[in-house]
Amino acid sequence: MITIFIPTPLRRFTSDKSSVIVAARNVTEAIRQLITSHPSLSPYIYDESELIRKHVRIYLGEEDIREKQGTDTLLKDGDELSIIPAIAGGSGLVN
Amino acid sequence: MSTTTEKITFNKEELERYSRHIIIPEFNIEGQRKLKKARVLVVGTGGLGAPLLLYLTAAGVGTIGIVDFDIVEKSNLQRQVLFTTSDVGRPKVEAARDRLSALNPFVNFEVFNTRLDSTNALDIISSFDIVADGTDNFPTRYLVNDACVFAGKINVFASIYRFEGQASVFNYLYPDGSRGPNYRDLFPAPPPAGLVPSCAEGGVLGVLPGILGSLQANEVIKVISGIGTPLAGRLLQFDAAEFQSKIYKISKDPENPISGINPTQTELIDYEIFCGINQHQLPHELELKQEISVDQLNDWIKSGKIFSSSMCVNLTNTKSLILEALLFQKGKY
Repeated sequence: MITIFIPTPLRRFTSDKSSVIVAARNVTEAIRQLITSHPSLSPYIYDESELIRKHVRIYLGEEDIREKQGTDTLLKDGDELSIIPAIAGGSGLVN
Repeated sequence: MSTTTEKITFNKEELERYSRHIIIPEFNIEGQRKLKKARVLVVGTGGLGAPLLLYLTAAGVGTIGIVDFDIVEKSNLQRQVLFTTSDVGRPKVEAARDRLSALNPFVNFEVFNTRLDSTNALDIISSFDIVADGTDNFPTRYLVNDACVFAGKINVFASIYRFEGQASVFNYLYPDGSRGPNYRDLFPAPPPAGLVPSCAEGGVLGVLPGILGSLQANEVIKVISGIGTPLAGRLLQFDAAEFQSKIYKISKDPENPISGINPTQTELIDYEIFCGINQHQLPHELELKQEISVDQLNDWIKSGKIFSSSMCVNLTNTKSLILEALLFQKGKY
């Protein structure tokens, strides 16, 4: 089984769960399974071309999957994936 | 950054003030000299800027630049510990300078009561050694990053959102003259406007910028003094809700638009300010002032087409509503 860690900004789409367990052979399968169970996550991870958005990174352990085989990166039982989105905010910023 | 510090001296009062630094063997008087010689620009005097500025001032950084265009508001006081209730209504840079000068009269402050944009960023940044980015929005984050890369400055970064914090040291200068990864190596482009929550949706746990801004100040002092290993090529992620912190590796991206093999961007960009819901972000089905049902609104919120906010929640009791997009645009709701 693969554990996917959900960052706090996206937990509103996972019923506040900080991680989701999936069964998958590679990163694409893992993310698709996550989205199947939590469909409203989709636009926050994939763009219109079904590619990972440019302000989102997927890590396997502490390594960016980009440094491996991208979304084709093979996974083994016990692997941990993390979704890292760009964040900014807190105050009323510019208006 | 020049390392020549022979001419940097301290009077008796300064030596007493900085004594707890000076007695650390690894830091000693030389570390304190480096701090006094340094010029650090802090962009933003908000939640992150407050601890950054307080600690850098207390530590004895010689010259601190402060950029902000805003005035102090009551809603700032929950986390921007630099300000007091009596500062409400004052320009932030002025209130900050007064507070910080009172903390340490041996620090020189250069204030810029302006919004950092593509026309002034390089000018302002160029005269400093290190930049500490404490801004709260994507357009300025990318602007600061790009300007630091173009001007060859180290960018000590932290960012927060609600319970989430991130920190890194970007564009770090290694002894061999090479540069570490920058923000665009991690996130090549900002999120599209439709995926950025409105200002009111943002929000942040007040103490979180205190934690991340303090880590940022620590990295600034480490970079200046040369102590330890900077958070370069690494991203700290801090989850204040679960109390989990993780470190992720950041590698240089050959396709980085400003510093990759074939850069496609050679100038600064003013990204559209995308706080709040504006017309471009609304679902295609919705025209301004079009009447929609509460069920429809709920569907849109659930499907992520628009972001829920406290206003929307309150309005679910009504039969229908007219969504005044402009109200959201101002980020007041």
